[in-house]
Amino acid sequence: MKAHRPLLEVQTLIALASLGDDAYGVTVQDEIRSRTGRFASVAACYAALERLARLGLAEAWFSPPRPERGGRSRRHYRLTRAGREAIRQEREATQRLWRGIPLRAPERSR
Amino acid sequence: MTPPRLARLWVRLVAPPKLRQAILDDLDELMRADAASPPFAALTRARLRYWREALRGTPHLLRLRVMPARQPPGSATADPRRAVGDIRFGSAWKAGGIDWLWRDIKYGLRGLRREPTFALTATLTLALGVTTTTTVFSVVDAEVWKPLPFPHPEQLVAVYSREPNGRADAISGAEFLDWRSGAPAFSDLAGESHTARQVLRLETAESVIVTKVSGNFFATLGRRAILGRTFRADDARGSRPAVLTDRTWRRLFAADPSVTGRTVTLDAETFVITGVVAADDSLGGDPDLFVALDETDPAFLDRTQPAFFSAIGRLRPGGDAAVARVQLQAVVTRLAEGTPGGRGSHSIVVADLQESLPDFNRRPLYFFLGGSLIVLILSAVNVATLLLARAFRRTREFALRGALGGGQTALARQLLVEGALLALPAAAGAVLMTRWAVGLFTGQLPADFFTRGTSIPIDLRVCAFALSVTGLTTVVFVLAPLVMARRVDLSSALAPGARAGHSAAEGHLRGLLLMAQMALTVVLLAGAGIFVKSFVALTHVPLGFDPTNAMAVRATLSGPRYASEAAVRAYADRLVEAARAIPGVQDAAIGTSSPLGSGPVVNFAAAGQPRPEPGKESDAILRAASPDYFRTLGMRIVRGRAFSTADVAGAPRVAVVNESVARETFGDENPIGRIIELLPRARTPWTNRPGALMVVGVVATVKDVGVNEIEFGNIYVPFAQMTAPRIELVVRAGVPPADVMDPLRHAVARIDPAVPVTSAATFDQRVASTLQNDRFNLLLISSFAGVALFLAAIGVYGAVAYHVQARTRELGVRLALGARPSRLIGAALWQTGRLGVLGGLLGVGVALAIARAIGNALYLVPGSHNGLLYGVTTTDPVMLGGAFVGIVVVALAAGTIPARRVTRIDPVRALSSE
Repeated sequence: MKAHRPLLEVQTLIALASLGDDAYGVTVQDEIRSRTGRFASVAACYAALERLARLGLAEAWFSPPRPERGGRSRRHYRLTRAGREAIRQEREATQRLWRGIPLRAPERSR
Repeated sequence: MTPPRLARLWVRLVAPPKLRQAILDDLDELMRADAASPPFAALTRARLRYWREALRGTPHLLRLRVMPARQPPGSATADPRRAVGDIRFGSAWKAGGIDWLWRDIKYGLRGLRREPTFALTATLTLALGVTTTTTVFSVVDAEVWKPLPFPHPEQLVAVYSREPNGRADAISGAEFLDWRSGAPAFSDLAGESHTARQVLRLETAESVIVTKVSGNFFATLGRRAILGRTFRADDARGSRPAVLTDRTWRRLFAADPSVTGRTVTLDAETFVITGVVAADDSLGGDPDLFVALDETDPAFLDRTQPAFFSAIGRLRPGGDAAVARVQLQAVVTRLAEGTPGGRGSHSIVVADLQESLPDFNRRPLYFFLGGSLIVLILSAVNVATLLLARAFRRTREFALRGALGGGQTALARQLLVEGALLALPAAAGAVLMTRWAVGLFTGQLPADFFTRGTSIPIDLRVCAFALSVTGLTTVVFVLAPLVMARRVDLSSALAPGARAGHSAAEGHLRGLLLMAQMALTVVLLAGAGIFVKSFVALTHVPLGFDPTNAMAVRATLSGPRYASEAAVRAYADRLVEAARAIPGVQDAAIGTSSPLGSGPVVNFAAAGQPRPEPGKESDAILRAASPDYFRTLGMRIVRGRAFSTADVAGAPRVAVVNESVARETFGDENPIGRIIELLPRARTPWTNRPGALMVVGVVATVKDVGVNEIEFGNIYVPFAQMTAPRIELVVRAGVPPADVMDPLRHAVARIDPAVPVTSAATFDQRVASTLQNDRFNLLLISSFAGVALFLAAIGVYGAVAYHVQARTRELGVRLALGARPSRLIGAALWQTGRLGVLGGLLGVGVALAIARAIGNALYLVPGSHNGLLYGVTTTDPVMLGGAFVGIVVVALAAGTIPARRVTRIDPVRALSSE
């Protein structure tokens, strides 16, 4: 029996999948907000990304230096093969979880 | 756009090194975006957002730091929970850096959460003690210790010339210039001259306090203008500049930024306002206005005229006060050679400026600081008792840790962290409570309490003090278990059914601590009692006059219209007439000052007696008064007569003296008809009318400056014979003074709107304000005693509660064997009662020892400025006895509540529980 993955990690995984090569703290935070409406601090996003990296689901890479004065290369993240597999599993698990539940809750009788 | 520095620093601190730069870059990016977005206050929002990011992200980052790199998926420990679990118990004491700290914090918090009563009591007790001490510290610091708020305060010195009898002597302007040029050790030397009330004419006539200073006064101190400029070197050559303090600028000029360059009239002279300085009372109260002395004025250069009463020097960097002193002394000796009776015998004093500030508030301040330290010790003892009890409760835990290989270092670290968890909130709470307490107390303070500054800031110094006191207290007591942990016998501590550490040694220690606590409480209680008694005595002191429904309105007449004495007398007559016409007024009279209002001092001698040598003449407060003055104020004529309408200018000069002068000067002889002589060189101009006066009456001695004072001599002269421009209308009403006060003010304004009322108060208010200092002292020491009593009650309560709890089994056995609960309660109370008696006796002993040590330092004795106590001895047996009884009663009362738990012990449960 596997433990549940924390919600923020799942959300970060999904954000990674959606963002492709443009995933770093700010964009992940943005993606989570636009998808769920919830606020996650940049640091929380990095913590989640780092945990995913430690689990081998994501990997960090460095972008070329930004085109500005003193621009540094930025730490980005992307999904690994295992990560994509994990997303598939999460999605199936979620769908199984929702099976048989009508989208609209039945009217309560008064 | 700069990110908040503190927030940035915080992120740097908590973020793992690998992610640090990435997170900071991202936060900067967010900040840029936020700051650029409309509409308003974008920057503030951006900064807030930055803080929110930094704080909300913190737990995530810290958790990440605690968690080590995991194995890749598929390995045995892929499960995140297991991985974390391994860490927690495996290498708990070996992990380094912030990891162990985080873990210790979590562990400590968990422990405190299990014992919320302990955590709360310890924190609050500590906070209470620290608050008391910090409150008094903040006052003493602001008044005494804090360096002067000028650049390089260590270079500033007070310079004066001391007469052989120890008095500081004023110097003339010419001498001042000689001093300034003759002492190269000073980079600058400034002088402060008269401070006086003058009338500033704007749309209305305003009474303002004006200090005359040398032109380099501000430059020497390093005080800068907040508007315009201070004095320049060329201002000392007759351009008549004035500098306002910001208080005056706000009060009289509505903070008008165009005030510089404006011409104002002070009495009859005109001045140009050059600038505004921030008010600074660190040298003993700023005036409303500074004006620069004209250093080319012949009066200034006249060597016989005193110009400066104090001088402030700034030593050159690395300069030595001793060198400066020698240089000045040389100047003085050289000058004295030419002039007989000069300053040859005087010695020059160059002293640290801060230390030479008037310091008559220091003694009570130190006394109360001592009192507050007792409260701090009490709270520390309380916390020590609590921590000790907790340590005994945890004997088994410590033994187990030791048995499993936990070292002493790790244990010490854990205990320190736990101590910090108690101390930090306590210190923070103490700072907050101090703010509140200081606000509360300064509201009660008499207006003239402060000699430096007008407010007590809660600044970094105060916070640091609170933190270090709390830290020190906790660290010392929190490590006690470490010493005991060494002695724990493993097998007995871990044996099943081992009682959670109740040992004879522990009981002994707790008893001692409790006793010490009660002893200290008795000291404070007795102190408070003595102050109560003293205050009651003060309110019953005979004043020598009747303050009921009496009041005084003070006005200063100045300008060309009142240049002649006849004009002043005419004004005074009209004023008395107008006052008498007001409904409710019974009597009105004119004087130059009145009881509890001090007055100018003159030297005098009795004719026909040998003259004392200069500097040793008798002195008395001189008051000019109209004939009805004594009747109006209800002052009793002891002998002879009061003034009559026949005592006019030109008639033989007469005087009424008070009992004190009569006794000191004439002994048992009848003073009526004797002659006293006013000596020349009185400081206030109107009093400087030397000559012989015939004593026609003796009046009762009144209180002149305060209720607790050493009697002053008073000489009264007819107002018609010595007319003064500073007059006081004294009035007795048959109705409450509030009904008469406004009509009185209007009457003054109707006679001449250009005459400002400088003060108006009832004598009841004067009495109250002279007692305000004593009331404040009483409030302070009573609050110490109250806190102490509360802490002692908590201590006793905790001790008895613990006693009952720890001996549940024993008490259960005794109950099962038929002991009556009341007897068991009695036994528990007997113990606390005995401790109370012993502690109380010890406390009485300590109080007596303290009383012996401070001697008469708290009393008004000749030469001391203010006595803290009146009409009571520091060894007052009633108050000591009362404190003793008080502590025993409180000990018994506080012990009764937990002792009654004995009746709730179920013998069966007690016996089977362990």
